Amino acid sequence: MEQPDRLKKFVYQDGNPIQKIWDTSSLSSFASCPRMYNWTNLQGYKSKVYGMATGFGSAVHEGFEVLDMQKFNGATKDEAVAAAIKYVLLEFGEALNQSEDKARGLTAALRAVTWRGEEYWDDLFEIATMPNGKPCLEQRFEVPFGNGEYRFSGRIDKVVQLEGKLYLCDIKTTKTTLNSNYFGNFMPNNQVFSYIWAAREVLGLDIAGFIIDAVQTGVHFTRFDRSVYNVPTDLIMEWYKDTADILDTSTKYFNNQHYPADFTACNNYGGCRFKETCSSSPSRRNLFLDNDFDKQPHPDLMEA
Amino acid sequence: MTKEVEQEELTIPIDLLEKDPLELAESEEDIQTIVTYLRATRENIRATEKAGKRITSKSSRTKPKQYESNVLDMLIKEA
Repeated sequence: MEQPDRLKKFVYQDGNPIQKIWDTSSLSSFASCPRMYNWTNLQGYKSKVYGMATGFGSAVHEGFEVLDMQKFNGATKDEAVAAAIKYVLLEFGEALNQSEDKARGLTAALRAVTWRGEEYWDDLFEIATMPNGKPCLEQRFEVPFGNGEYRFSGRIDKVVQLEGKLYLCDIKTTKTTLNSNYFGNFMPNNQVFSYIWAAREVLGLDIAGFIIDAVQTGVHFTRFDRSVYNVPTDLIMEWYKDTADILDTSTKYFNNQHYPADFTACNNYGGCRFKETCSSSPSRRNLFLDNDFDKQPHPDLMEA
Repeated sequence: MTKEVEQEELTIPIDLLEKDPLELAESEEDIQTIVTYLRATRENIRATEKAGKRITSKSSRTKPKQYESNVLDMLIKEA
Protein backbone atom coordinates (compact mmCIF):
# COMPACT_ATOMS: atom_id res chain seq x y z
CA MET A 1 0.00 0.00 0.00
CA GLU A 2 1.30 3.44 -0.87
CA GLN A 3 2.22 5.56 2.13
CA PRO A 4 0.85 9.11 2.28
CA ASP A 5 3.49 11.83 1.85
CA ARG A 6 5.06 12.91 5.13
CA LEU A 7 4.25 16.50 5.97
CA LYS A 8 7.38 18.59 5.72
CA LYS A 9 8.56 20.82 8.52
CA PHE A 10 10.05 23.32 6.07
CA VAL A 11 9.15 23.93 2.44
CA TYR A 12 10.17 26.38 -0.25
CA GLN A 13 7.39 28.79 -1.14
CA ASP A 14 7.98 31.25 -3.98
CA GLY A 15 11.65 30.26 -3.80
CA ASN A 16 12.06 31.06 -0.09
CA PRO A 17 12.07 28.72 2.93
CA ILE A 18 9.09 28.81 5.28
CA GLN A 19 8.32 26.72 8.36
CA LYS A 20 5.10 24.72 8.30
CA ILE A 21 5.50 22.57 11.40
CA TRP A 22 6.56 24.52 14.47
CA ASP A 23 7.97 23.38 17.78
CA THR A 24 8.87 25.11 21.03
CA SER A 25 12.48 25.62 20.03
CA SER A 26 11.69 27.41 16.75
CA LEU A 27 8.84 29.33 18.37
CA SER A 28 11.14 30.62 21.12
CA SER A 29 13.84 31.40 18.54
CA PHE A 30 11.40 33.45 16.40
CA ALA A 31 9.82 35.21 19.40
CA SER A 32 13.28 36.06 20.73
CA CYS A 33 14.72 37.55 17.53
CA PRO A 34 13.20 37.04 14.04
CA ARG A 35 16.54 37.70 12.33
CA MET A 36 18.27 35.05 14.43
CA TYR A 37 15.38 32.69 13.62
CA ASN A 38 15.81 33.34 9.89
CA TRP A 39 19.56 32.68 9.96
CA THR A 40 19.36 29.68 12.29
CA ASN A 41 16.11 27.90 11.49
CA LEU A 42 15.34 28.90 7.89
CA GLN A 43 18.81 29.41 6.37
CA GLY A 44 20.50 26.75 8.56
CA TYR A 45 23.61 28.64 9.73
CA LYS A 46 25.29 26.59 12.44
CA SER A 47 28.25 27.60 14.55
CA LYS A 48 31.48 25.88 13.43
CA VAL A 49 32.27 24.99 17.06
CA TYR A 50 30.60 21.63 17.66
CA GLY A 51 28.41 21.55 20.75
CA MET A 52 29.20 18.37 22.70
CA ALA A 53 26.53 19.48 25.16
CA THR A 54 23.85 18.15 22.82
CA GLY A 55 25.35 14.67 22.76
CA PHE A 56 25.67 14.65 26.54
CA GLY A 57 22.04 15.65 27.10
CA SER A 58 20.84 12.95 24.72
CA ALA A 59 23.04 10.32 26.41
CA VAL A 60 21.65 11.11 29.86
CA HIS A 61 18.12 11.44 28.56
CA GLU A 62 18.17 8.12 26.71
CA GLY A 63 19.97 6.38 29.58
CA PHE A 64 17.16 7.46 31.92
CA GLU A 65 14.61 6.20 29.41
CA VAL A 66 16.26 2.77 29.47
CA LEU A 67 16.06 2.83 33.29
CA ASP A 68 12.34 3.71 33.15
CA MET A 69 11.59 1.10 30.50
CA GLN A 70 13.44 -1.60 32.43
CA LYS A 71 11.64 -0.72 35.64
CA PHE A 72 8.26 -0.73 33.89
CA ASN A 73 9.06 -4.20 32.51
CA GLY A 74 9.86 -5.53 35.98
CA ALA A 75 13.68 -5.53 35.99
CA THR A 76 15.56 -5.20 39.27
CA LYS A 77 17.46 -1.98 39.98
CA ASP A 78 20.80 -3.64 39.27
CA GLU A 79 19.58 -5.06 35.96
CA ALA A 80 18.09 -1.72 34.91
CA VAL A 81 21.23 0.29 35.76
CA ALA A 82 23.49 -2.23 33.96
CA ALA A 83 21.26 -2.10 30.86
CA ALA A 84 21.25 1.72 30.87
CA ILE A 85 25.04 1.89 31.31
CA LYS A 86 25.53 -0.54 28.46
CA TYR A 87 23.21 1.50 26.24
CA VAL A 88 25.06 4.76 26.95
CA LEU A 89 28.44 3.10 26.30
CA LEU A 90 27.28 1.66 22.98
CA GLU A 91 25.38 4.65 21.67
CA PHE A 92 27.34 7.60 23.03
CA GLY A 93 30.61 6.24 24.49
CA GLU A 94 32.95 7.15 21.67
CA ALA A 95 31.49 10.63 21.11
CA LEU A 96 31.43 11.51 24.83
CA ASN A 97 35.03 10.35 25.25
CA GLN A 98 36.00 13.23 22.92
CA SER A 99 34.44 15.84 25.23
CA GLU A 100 36.92 18.24 26.79
CA ASP A 101 34.32 19.26 29.36
CA LYS A 102 34.57 16.72 32.18
CA ALA A 103 31.18 17.76 33.56
CA ARG A 104 29.65 16.61 30.27
CA GLY A 105 31.80 13.64 29.31
CA LEU A 106 31.34 9.87 29.41
CA THR A 107 32.09 9.39 33.13
CA ALA A 108 29.63 12.18 33.99
CA ALA A 109 26.93 10.50 31.86
CA LEU A 110 27.55 7.09 33.48
CA ARG A 111 27.47 8.73 36.92
CA ALA A 112 24.16 10.47 36.16
CA VAL A 113 22.56 7.17 35.12
CA THR A 114 23.94 5.22 38.11
CA TRP A 115 23.02 7.89 40.67
CA ARG A 116 19.57 8.27 39.10
CA GLY A 117 18.96 4.59 39.82
CA GLU A 118 19.80 5.20 43.47
CA GLU A 119 17.86 8.44 43.75
CA TYR A 120 14.56 7.57 42.11
CA TRP A 121 14.15 3.80 42.01
CA ASP A 122 11.47 3.94 44.73
CA ASP A 123 9.74 6.84 43.09
CA LEU A 124 6.39 8.40 43.96
CA PHE A 125 5.92 9.14 40.25
CA GLU A 126 4.46 6.17 38.45
CA ILE A 127 4.84 5.98 34.68
CA ALA A 128 1.39 6.04 33.06
CA THR A 129 0.32 3.14 30.87
CA MET A 130 -0.92 3.57 27.29
CA PRO A 131 -4.18 1.88 26.21
CA ASN A 132 -2.02 -0.76 24.45
CA GLY A 133 -0.31 -1.62 27.75
CA LYS A 134 3.00 0.05 26.89
CA PRO A 135 4.65 2.68 29.10
CA CYS A 136 3.87 6.27 28.25
CA LEU A 137 7.44 7.21 27.35
CA GLU A 138 8.79 9.29 24.46
CA GLN A 139 5.45 10.18 22.90
CA ARG A 140 5.67 12.38 19.82
CA PHE A 141 2.81 14.57 18.73
CA GLU A 142 2.12 16.71 15.69
CA VAL A 143 -1.19 18.54 15.69
CA PRO A 144 -2.97 21.27 13.70
CA PHE A 145 -2.54 24.76 15.11
CA GLY A 146 -4.48 28.00 14.58
CA ASN A 147 -6.43 28.30 11.34
CA GLY A 148 -4.89 25.11 9.93
CA GLU A 149 -2.06 26.93 8.19
CA TYR A 150 0.41 25.69 10.79
CA ARG A 151 1.10 22.54 12.73
CA PHE A 152 2.80 22.12 16.09
CA SER A 153 5.02 19.20 17.10
CA GLY A 154 6.80 18.02 20.21
CA ARG A 155 8.06 15.02 22.12
CA ILE A 156 6.74 14.27 25.58
CA ASP A 157 9.44 12.47 27.61
CA LYS A 158 6.93 10.69 29.80
CA VAL A 159 3.50 10.92 31.36
CA VAL A 160 3.45 10.12 35.06
CA GLN A 161 0.82 9.64 37.71
CA LEU A 162 1.17 11.44 41.00
CA GLU A 163 -1.52 11.25 43.68
CA GLY A 164 -4.04 10.10 41.09
CA LYS A 165 -3.33 12.94 38.66
CA LEU A 166 -1.54 12.84 35.31
CA TYR A 167 1.46 15.06 34.61
CA LEU A 168 3.68 15.58 31.58
CA CYS A 169 7.31 15.18 32.60
CA ASP A 170 10.41 16.54 30.89
CA ILE A 171 14.04 15.79 31.77
CA LYS A 172 16.52 18.67 31.65
CA THR A 173 20.28 18.42 32.02
CA THR A 174 22.14 21.52 33.16
CA LYS A 175 25.32 22.70 34.84
CA THR A 176 23.28 25.38 36.61
CA THR A 177 22.47 25.05 40.32
CA LEU A 178 18.98 23.64 40.80
CA ASN A 179 17.43 26.45 42.80
CA SER A 180 14.29 28.59 42.55
CA ASN A 181 15.94 30.77 39.88
CA TYR A 182 16.51 27.74 37.70
CA PHE A 183 13.00 26.36 38.12
CA GLY A 184 11.56 29.84 37.65
CA ASN A 185 12.65 29.63 34.00
CA PHE A 186 9.82 27.18 33.33
CA MET A 187 6.90 29.32 34.43
CA PRO A 188 5.73 30.78 32.13
CA ASN A 189 7.37 28.79 29.35
CA ASN A 190 6.55 27.92 25.73
CA GLN A 191 7.35 24.22 26.10
CA VAL A 192 5.33 23.77 29.28
CA PHE A 193 2.30 25.61 27.89
CA SER A 194 2.40 24.11 24.38
CA TYR A 195 2.73 20.52 25.59
CA ILE A 196 -0.12 20.96 28.06
CA TRP A 197 -2.21 22.58 25.31
CA ALA A 198 -1.56 19.68 22.89
CA ALA A 199 -2.19 17.04 25.57
CA ARG A 200 -5.40 18.62 26.89
CA GLU A 201 -6.98 20.25 23.86
CA VAL A 202 -5.92 17.96 21.00
CA LEU A 203 -5.04 14.58 22.49
CA GLY A 204 -7.86 14.82 25.06
CA LEU A 205 -5.75 13.81 28.08
CA ASP A 206 -6.77 14.98 31.53
CA ILE A 207 -3.38 16.52 32.36
CA ALA A 208 -3.03 18.38 35.67
CA GLY A 209 0.30 20.01 34.87
CA PHE A 210 3.96 19.69 34.00
CA ILE A 211 6.99 18.40 35.89
CA ILE A 212 10.54 19.53 35.22
CA ASP A 213 12.81 16.65 36.22
CA ALA A 214 16.20 18.35 36.38
CA VAL A 215 19.71 16.89 36.54
CA GLN A 216 22.67 19.06 37.44
CA THR A 217 26.01 17.61 36.39
CA GLY A 218 29.40 18.68 37.70
CA VAL A 219 32.85 17.17 37.28
CA HIS A 220 32.52 15.04 40.44
CA PHE A 221 28.81 15.05 41.24
CA THR A 222 25.26 14.83 39.93
CA ARG A 223 22.27 16.42 41.64
CA PHE A 224 18.59 15.86 41.02
CA ASP A 225 15.55 17.96 41.74
CA ARG A 226 12.03 18.38 40.40
CA SER A 227 9.41 21.06 40.20
CA VAL A 228 5.71 20.60 39.58
CA TYR A 229 3.75 23.25 37.66
CA ASN A 230 -0.04 23.16 37.88
CA VAL A 231 -1.20 25.34 34.98
CA PRO A 232 -4.85 26.44 34.74
CA THR A 233 -6.59 26.18 31.37
CA ASP A 234 -7.19 29.94 31.00
CA LEU A 235 -3.41 30.48 31.02
CA ILE A 236 -2.99 27.83 28.34
CA MET A 237 -5.69 29.40 26.15
CA GLU A 238 -4.06 32.80 26.51
CA TRP A 239 -0.74 31.24 25.39
CA TYR A 240 -2.53 29.67 22.42
CA LYS A 241 -3.93 33.03 21.29
CA ASP A 242 -0.57 34.75 21.71
CA THR A 243 1.20 32.01 19.77
CA ALA A 244 -1.31 32.15 16.92
CA ASP A 245 -0.51 35.88 16.66
CA ILE A 246 3.23 35.18 16.70
CA LEU A 247 2.88 32.64 13.88
CA ASP A 248 0.77 35.09 11.85
CA THR A 249 3.58 37.59 12.32
CA SER A 250 6.05 35.02 10.97
CA THR A 251 3.89 34.70 7.84
CA LYS A 252 3.90 38.48 7.47
CA TYR A 253 7.71 38.55 7.71
CA PHE A 254 7.91 35.74 5.19
CA ASN A 255 5.64 37.62 2.77
CA ASN A 256 7.83 40.72 3.10
CA GLN A 257 11.02 38.63 3.16
CA HIS A 258 12.22 40.80 6.01
CA TYR A 259 12.99 39.33 9.42
CA PRO A 260 13.78 42.24 11.77
CA ALA A 261 16.37 41.97 14.54
CA ASP A 262 15.45 42.33 18.20
CA PHE A 263 18.52 43.74 19.95
CA THR A 264 17.03 43.15 23.39
CA ALA A 265 17.86 39.44 22.91
CA CYS A 266 21.53 39.95 21.95
CA ASN A 267 22.91 39.18 25.40
CA ASN A 268 20.59 36.37 26.43
CA TYR A 269 22.12 33.03 27.40
CA GLY A 270 25.73 34.20 27.28
CA GLY A 271 25.29 36.28 24.10
CA CYS A 272 23.89 35.57 20.64
CA ARG A 273 26.35 33.90 18.24
CA PHE A 274 25.29 36.34 15.52
CA LYS A 275 26.22 39.48 17.50
CA GLU A 276 29.33 40.14 15.44
CA THR A 277 27.45 39.54 12.20
CA CYS A 278 24.66 41.91 13.23
CA SER A 279 27.26 44.54 14.22
CA SER A 280 28.67 44.61 10.68
CA SER A 281 27.30 46.55 7.76
CA PRO A 282 24.42 44.71 6.00
CA SER A 283 26.45 44.61 2.80
CA ARG A 284 29.25 42.65 4.55
CA ARG A 285 27.12 40.22 6.57
CA ASN A 286 27.36 37.35 4.13
CA LEU A 287 31.15 37.39 4.62
CA PHE A 288 30.71 36.90 8.37
CA LEU A 289 28.07 34.23 7.87
CA ASP A 290 30.25 32.30 5.40
CA ASN A 291 33.39 32.57 7.54
CA ASP A 292 31.98 31.84 10.99
CA PHE A 293 29.20 29.38 10.24
CA ASP A 294 28.46 26.22 8.31
CA LYS A 295 25.30 26.34 6.27
CA GLN A 296 23.25 23.18 6.88
CA PRO A 297 19.60 23.79 6.00
CA HIS A 298 16.99 21.41 7.41
CA PRO A 299 16.87 18.08 5.49
CA ASP A 300 13.37 18.94 4.20
CA LEU A 301 14.90 21.91 2.38
CA MET A 302 17.75 19.81 1.02
CA GLU A 303 15.28 17.36 -0.55
CA ALA A 304 13.34 20.13 -2.26
CA MET B 1 32.89 12.86 73.40
CA THR B 2 33.84 13.60 69.81
CA LYS B 3 35.94 11.23 67.80
CA GLU B 4 37.11 11.58 64.19
CA VAL B 5 36.85 8.49 62.05
CA GLU B 6 38.98 8.25 58.88
CA GLN B 7 37.57 6.33 55.93
CA GLU B 8 39.59 4.45 53.37
CA GLU B 9 39.99 5.89 49.88
CA LEU B 10 38.21 4.36 46.87
CA THR B 11 40.30 3.14 43.98
CA ILE B 12 39.22 4.65 40.68
CA PRO B 13 38.85 1.93 38.03
CA ILE B 14 40.94 4.03 35.60
CA ASP B 15 41.74 1.08 33.38
CA LEU B 16 38.02 0.55 32.82
CA LEU B 17 37.05 4.21 32.47
CA GLU B 18 39.76 4.60 29.83
CA LYS B 19 38.83 1.39 28.04
CA ASP B 20 37.21 1.45 24.59
CA PRO B 21 33.50 2.04 25.40
CA LEU B 22 32.32 -0.56 22.88
CA GLU B 23 34.57 -3.20 24.47
CA LEU B 24 33.53 -2.13 27.97
CA ALA B 25 29.85 -2.45 27.03
CA GLU B 26 30.35 -6.14 26.30
CA SER B 27 31.64 -7.03 29.79
CA GLU B 28 28.98 -7.35 32.50
CA GLU B 29 31.70 -7.68 35.11
CA ASP B 30 33.39 -4.42 34.05
CA ILE B 31 30.05 -2.61 34.00
CA GLN B 32 29.33 -3.88 37.51
CA THR B 33 32.73 -2.65 38.74
CA ILE B 34 32.00 0.83 37.37
CA VAL B 35 28.49 0.89 38.86
CA THR B 36 29.83 -0.18 42.27
CA TYR B 37 32.50 2.54 42.12
CA LEU B 38 30.03 5.25 41.04
CA ARG B 39 27.57 4.24 43.78
CA ALA B 40 30.34 4.52 46.36
CA THR B 41 31.28 8.01 45.08
CA ARG B 42 27.63 9.02 45.57
CA GLU B 43 27.79 8.03 49.22
CA ASN B 44 31.03 10.00 49.66
CA ILE B 45 29.71 13.11 47.92
CA ARG B 46 26.50 13.03 49.95
CA ALA B 47 28.52 12.77 53.14
CA THR B 48 30.76 15.63 51.97
CA GLU B 49 27.73 17.82 51.21
CA LYS B 50 26.18 16.94 54.56
CA ALA B 51 29.40 17.96 56.29
CA GLY B 52 29.26 21.28 54.40
CA LYS B 53 32.61 20.66 52.76
CA ARG B 54 33.76 21.49 49.24
CA ILE B 55 33.33 18.82 46.58
CA THR B 56 36.64 17.83 45.02
CA SER B 57 38.08 14.85 43.21
CA LYS B 58 39.39 13.57 46.54
CA SER B 59 36.09 13.99 48.35
CA SER B 60 34.37 11.77 45.78
CA ARG B 61 36.84 9.02 46.68
CA THR B 62 37.00 9.57 50.44
CA LYS B 63 34.33 10.06 53.04
CA PRO B 64 34.90 13.22 55.05
CA LYS B 65 35.94 12.83 58.65
CA GLN B 66 32.85 11.72 60.50
CA TYR B 67 31.97 12.79 63.99
CA GLU B 68 30.45 10.35 66.38
CA SER B 69 28.61 13.04 68.32
CA ASN B 70 25.89 15.39 67.11
CA VAL B 71 27.22 18.40 65.14
CA LEU B 72 25.08 20.76 67.24
CA ASP B 73 26.62 19.38 70.42
CA MET B 74 30.04 20.11 68.96
CA LEU B 75 29.09 23.71 68.16
CA ILE B 76 27.85 24.25 71.72
CA LYS B 77 30.99 22.69 73.09
CA GLU B 78 33.23 24.90 70.91
CA ALA B 79 31.26 28.02 71.85
